[in-house]
Amino acid sequence: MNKDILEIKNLNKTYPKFKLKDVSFTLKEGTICGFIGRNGAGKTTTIKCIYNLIKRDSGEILYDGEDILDIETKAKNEIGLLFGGVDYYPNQKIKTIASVTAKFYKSWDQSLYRRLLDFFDLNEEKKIKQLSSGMKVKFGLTLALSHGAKVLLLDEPTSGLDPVSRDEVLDCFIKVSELNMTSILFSTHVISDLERCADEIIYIKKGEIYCQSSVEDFKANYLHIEGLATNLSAEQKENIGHLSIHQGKFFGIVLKEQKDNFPDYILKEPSLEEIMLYIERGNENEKTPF
Amino acid sequence: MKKLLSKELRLCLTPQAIILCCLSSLIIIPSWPSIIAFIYTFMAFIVVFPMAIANHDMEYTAILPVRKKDIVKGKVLLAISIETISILISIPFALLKVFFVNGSIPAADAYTDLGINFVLYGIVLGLSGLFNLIFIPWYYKNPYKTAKSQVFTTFLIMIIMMVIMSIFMIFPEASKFVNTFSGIALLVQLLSLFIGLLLFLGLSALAAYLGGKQLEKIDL
Repeated sequence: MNKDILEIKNLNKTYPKFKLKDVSFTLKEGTICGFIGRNGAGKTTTIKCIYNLIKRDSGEILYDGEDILDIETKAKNEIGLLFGGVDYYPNQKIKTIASVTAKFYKSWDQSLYRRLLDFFDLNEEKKIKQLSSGMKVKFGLTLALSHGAKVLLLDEPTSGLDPVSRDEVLDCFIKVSELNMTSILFSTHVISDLERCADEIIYIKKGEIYCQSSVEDFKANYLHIEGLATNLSAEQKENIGHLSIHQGKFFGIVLKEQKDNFPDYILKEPSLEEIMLYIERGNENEKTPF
Repeated sequence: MKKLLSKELRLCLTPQAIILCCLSSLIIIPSWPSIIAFIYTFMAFIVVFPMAIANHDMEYTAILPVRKKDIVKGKVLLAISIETISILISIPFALLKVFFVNGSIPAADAYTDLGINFVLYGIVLGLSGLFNLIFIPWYYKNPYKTAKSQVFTTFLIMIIMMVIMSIFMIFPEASKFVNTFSGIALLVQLLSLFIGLLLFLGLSALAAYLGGKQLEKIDL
């Protein structure tokens, strides 16, 4: 059983128009954990609280059993953090930023840094402003991965990447997690990324943790349903989430415990994206401004 | 500390700021109030801090393995560096003025103001410490805006400089005293320099402490 490297207990943070409410979850050593939720659900705020960029109102953030504020420098030495792409010092060269950054880390691995530059096809002589948004993400990842971090906190690390690059990045996550027992908490809106590499999912909704479970357990509660819409009763319709009816056919999501209410329809494992839509939109079926 | 200083010098010390530091060489101008040459040093901050904001320096430093309050320490180290560079650049020009210019240009050595001496450098060091103490904690109340804190602090330092100049113009005896390099006058000068240095370091350390306290309250 892997130990908890990061424990968040009853984290609270209040803004005039938003609240993180009793956010609690754990990140186990060597696991890849997808942190999902809608825009504004509190993912970035939570990650910033963990890294002490945002001052928490209350709650505990334990890194390896100790409050992260008591061991701030040590913890930050062992945590890699990335918010999207690198957008600082646009007129500086990659090599300048990297050489300044390297000095701060005790365990900076220059040969790994070089390998990552090659892997991501990054030219050290280029200035930050000359990089595409995808390349900026890759450079950010290169910095975050080059100091042998035990924990990676990544806020939308695959945004702006083309499918091939995304696949490469996700491969890196899997490798680094397996080889170094690195724990990865990454937020994303690309739900297919989670299906590709996440062991666990933490779902945050309106500032509260909706659930934390393995991907399998998370999926096990729901079923994708489809069939002919003409046969659906009004009561059945009410129980289907994210219901979509088109050309006489329908599809949607139902809770697994209700599967006996739908004996004549095709029931199968849903995608994570469908479940997310079900959680967020519930039975507000086909609600559009049109 | 070394790492932070190196980061600040490599990424935040812009060429424009160095040029402004070099303007302390204007101390050589004959019959010109020597203390004015150092006002340009404080103007270097008008370049450095907004540039740091534009370059997302805070966001970068915040993700490095340093305590949040150490971000301020880095900027205070940069401020100390700028002020020290400016003073160091001025020294050879001050010596040239004292030993060559004043003797070769008629009336250039009239002590109508503070002149060039250890008291001048003591005052400049003290004012630099005062600048850091007022500007840094104020700036870190809202580190995304620099205008108010910079304009106010720079003007305050200018006013203090004008007051100091005026005092020495009104009391030429004082001017003569601080420009006498022997006996008790020299001792007073050296003491002033020492006090200035202590103020510079002490007020700058206090600025880092208070600025750090301010930044800890801010959500980045």
